[in-house]
Amino acid sequence: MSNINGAAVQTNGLTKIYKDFWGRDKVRALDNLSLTINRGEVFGLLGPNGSGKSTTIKLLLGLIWPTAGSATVLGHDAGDTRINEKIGFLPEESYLYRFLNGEETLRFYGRLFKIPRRELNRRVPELLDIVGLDPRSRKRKLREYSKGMARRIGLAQAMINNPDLLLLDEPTTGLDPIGTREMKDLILSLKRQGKTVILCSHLLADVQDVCDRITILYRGRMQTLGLVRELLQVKDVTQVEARGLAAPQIDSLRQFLKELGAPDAVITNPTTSLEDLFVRIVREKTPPGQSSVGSPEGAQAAAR
Amino acid sequence: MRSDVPILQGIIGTVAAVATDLLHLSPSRAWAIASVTFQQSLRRRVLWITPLAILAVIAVAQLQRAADNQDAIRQTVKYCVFASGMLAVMVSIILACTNLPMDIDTKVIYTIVTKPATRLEIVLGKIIGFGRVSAALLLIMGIFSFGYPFLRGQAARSADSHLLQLLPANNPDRPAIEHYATQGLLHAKVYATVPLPSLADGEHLPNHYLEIYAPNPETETPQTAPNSRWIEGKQAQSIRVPYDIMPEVLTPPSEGAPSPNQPGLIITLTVPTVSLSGDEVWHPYPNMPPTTGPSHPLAIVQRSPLHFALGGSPPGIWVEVLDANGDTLINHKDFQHLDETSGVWLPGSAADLPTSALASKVTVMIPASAVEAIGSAIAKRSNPLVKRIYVSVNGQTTDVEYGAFPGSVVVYSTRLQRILTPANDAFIDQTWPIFQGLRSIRGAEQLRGTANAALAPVGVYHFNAAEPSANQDRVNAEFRVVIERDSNAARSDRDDPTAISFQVYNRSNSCMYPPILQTIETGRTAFFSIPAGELASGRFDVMLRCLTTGHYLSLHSDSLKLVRSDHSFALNVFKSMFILWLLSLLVIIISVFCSTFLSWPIAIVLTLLLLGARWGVDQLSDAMGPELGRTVTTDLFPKDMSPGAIRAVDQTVVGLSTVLKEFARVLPDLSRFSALESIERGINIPMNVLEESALVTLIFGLSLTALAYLFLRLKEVAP
Repeated sequence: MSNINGAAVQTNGLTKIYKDFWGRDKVRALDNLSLTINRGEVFGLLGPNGSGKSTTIKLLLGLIWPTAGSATVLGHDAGDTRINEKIGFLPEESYLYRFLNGEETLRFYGRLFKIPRRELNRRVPELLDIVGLDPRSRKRKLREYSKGMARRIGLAQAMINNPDLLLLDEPTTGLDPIGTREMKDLILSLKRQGKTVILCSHLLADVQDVCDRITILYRGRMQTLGLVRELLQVKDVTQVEARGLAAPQIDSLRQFLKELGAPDAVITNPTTSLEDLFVRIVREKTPPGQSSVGSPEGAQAAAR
Repeated sequence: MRSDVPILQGIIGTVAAVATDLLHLSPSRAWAIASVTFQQSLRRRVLWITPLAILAVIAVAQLQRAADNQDAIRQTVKYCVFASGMLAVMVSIILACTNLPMDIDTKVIYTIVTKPATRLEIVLGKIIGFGRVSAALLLIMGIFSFGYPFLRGQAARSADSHLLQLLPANNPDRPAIEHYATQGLLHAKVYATVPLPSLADGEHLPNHYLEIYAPNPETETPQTAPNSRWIEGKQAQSIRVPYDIMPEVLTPPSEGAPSPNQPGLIITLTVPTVSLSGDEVWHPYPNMPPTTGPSHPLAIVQRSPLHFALGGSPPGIWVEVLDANGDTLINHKDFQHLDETSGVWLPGSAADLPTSALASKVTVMIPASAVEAIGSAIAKRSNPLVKRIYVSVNGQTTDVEYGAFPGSVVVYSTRLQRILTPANDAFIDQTWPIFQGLRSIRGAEQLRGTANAALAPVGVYHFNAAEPSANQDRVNAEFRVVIERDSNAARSDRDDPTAISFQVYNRSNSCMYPPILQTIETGRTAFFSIPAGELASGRFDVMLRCLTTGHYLSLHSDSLKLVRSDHSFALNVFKSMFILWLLSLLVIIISVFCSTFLSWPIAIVLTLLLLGARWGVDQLSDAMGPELGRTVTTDLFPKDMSPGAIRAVDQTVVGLSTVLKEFARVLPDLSRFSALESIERGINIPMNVLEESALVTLIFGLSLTALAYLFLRLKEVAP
């Protein structure tokens, strides 16, 4: 993991205690979190429900104030409006104005960044293409969107300002496997562009696919922190992959391993993931130039 | 970002953050939020309420009962503007109170505050957005408020034209209908009326510019009377002389408490009288200049002795010292009647008093202790005009007229050792006293009617700066009064029209013009016109006589109005809608402010409370005057209560009243948003009404917007 120009996020003893009406401590949502997230990395915040992931994100965005400790984001205090110019945020659900359509939504958020109209005219369709919303969907009100479409438009609004830091809270929730794959591809693409991505998810496979480093929170406390590949590595097991071996050759290999002192070595054909299978089938069936999202409409539906 | 910093550091941090937000305030971001707020309201079909309101107004207007077509249009305009105001205010409250809490509940606010939009821009955006909604709503209602009365007015005008062909020439309704048919029914008139000095707290000074005189024994018109003007006896009228009382006059000398007999003010009254009964032989005053007016059935009494304060024979008078509201400060109980032998006399009085005034003379002394009481009564009043006092004299005896002239009331201050100069802020010749009629509870002055014009009391409207415009040949005038009738008149025919006459006296050229005769009905506007030439220079008096015996006119200063110009009704509707928009803007700001820290149902309740609180507190504090303190102590507590306890209760009530009044001062005064009053009566809405509305919105709007921003700035939007 390279560290490009220092930390994107740094927390120091960050603590959040929710209080009741009388000011008494009710819930210690986050306890003494000290963490550094480097620029250019994809960082995963993992943990079960109520572990403090969303609280951490909200603290970094200034949606709530810390009870103790401090946090800096891109070199400024968390909550400083000026850093929002460089931040994109996808909340855990798509908290958007449901009376607007996709295009209007992006234009509204674009105007909050004071993006010129001409630039918006270029960027809005481009972003809608990137997140996979077809032209018909763009004109529909968000209240008519499926959950997956809402996640896509949510992601598009998070990227409207071409941010340096993206905070994605459960980005793949509600997405179909195609969407999940595209989201992961997008995150990797962002990483290649030098963006910092903080990912907060329950779906560990997704995190595993894209994250450089992760931390696991539990009951508000950080339990572990490190590179994904190091944390997941099973150091006393060796895996060998080979293509085109026939049955006799496999028997020879098993015999060889026995001689090497591994009498219970498992030799089997690997399986592809269900996600890979699904993606392959749907992509084969999707007409060229069309999105895999949504139901067929009009003439397309009639033709079927 | 540390939360455990000392309080001072926290305050400095907040101030710095606020300053940063102010520096980075972006109108375009605020406008973006405003646009989406506006769009949201439109897509929630808020404007669909307007057709419903329009239908409701049309239904009510069709069911109304109007006295005539003008009244029908007046009521229609009232319904339209009222509905517009109600709609704008209610929609503004509901939208603005619910929006921010719903953004927080649905967490849409997450995606906005995590953009570069500051909380200030969010608050401003919401206010501007709802202001646009309100403007759209009022635009629709404004078009309707013009269009519907316009169509009704056109229909009514053509109906009036048709009716005129059928009405006989002597029909009493004919002049009004003719007026409606020719002048139309939609107006935005600018009237000239006699001025009524009004004070900041809504009180009014007694009117200097509407006077009532008794029939004059010297001349036909009071204005041309060289020596004296007259009031009727039987307490029907009074004369008043105004004095602006300075603290040094009222405050007694510092050497201890004044003794009861120490004089404070000495008042000398010189009052001629005439008898109306004709039982006595009347001669002119020996030292008065000879009467120059025409002969008159009345004559002047020679040195009639006056009996102070009590009626009976010889003629009696009543003297009081009043405050600006007409409430008694000092009456005869405080006076000491002095005569030439009592040893107290005005120094140099022979030189100070008018030599012509050798009518009956009374000198009264107000003790210094009573003067001190005046001081404590009016010293706390903030408005200098309210510190004015009036020496009031009225005649007690029936069938006697009392005269007055410049200098017939002389007030001498023992403290200053000089005669006080009467206040003179009038454009008429205020060296004369002010002549007032019998005043009703509602402040009207009564003008008695009699068939003989020479014996009829005369009401005089003193106009100033009311010159007609250059293109006017005749100036339209409107006259509307309540007419009361005595028992004899009631027995004959209550519906008899009342005959009156108007006569113009131009003060600039001292020219008296021929009277205009007119018949009027109670509570209905009479229309007539005056040749513009009579009103040249704008400094003129209109003299009014009631020529029907047994009828009494209740005159107000605005009973007689001259139409100086008639502006566009459409522009008047626009002004009215603009005032309503300013009101709705204030409502929006209060609503947004409440919604920054309350859930929407509670925010709606608090908004309504804040809007109505000023009126409520005013009512409550009015009821809690000093009298209430005394009432509470006498009614609710034992009679043997100690003086200290009584004083404590009294002071508590007074203190509470003061606190409430002070509290009311920081609440918005909705009475300033006077969108309906003028337009309903066909009067051009003056620009100062718009300015006052804008000022209230600006002052309260800015402060509440700042508070709303601070509350939202300190709020965790993701609880």
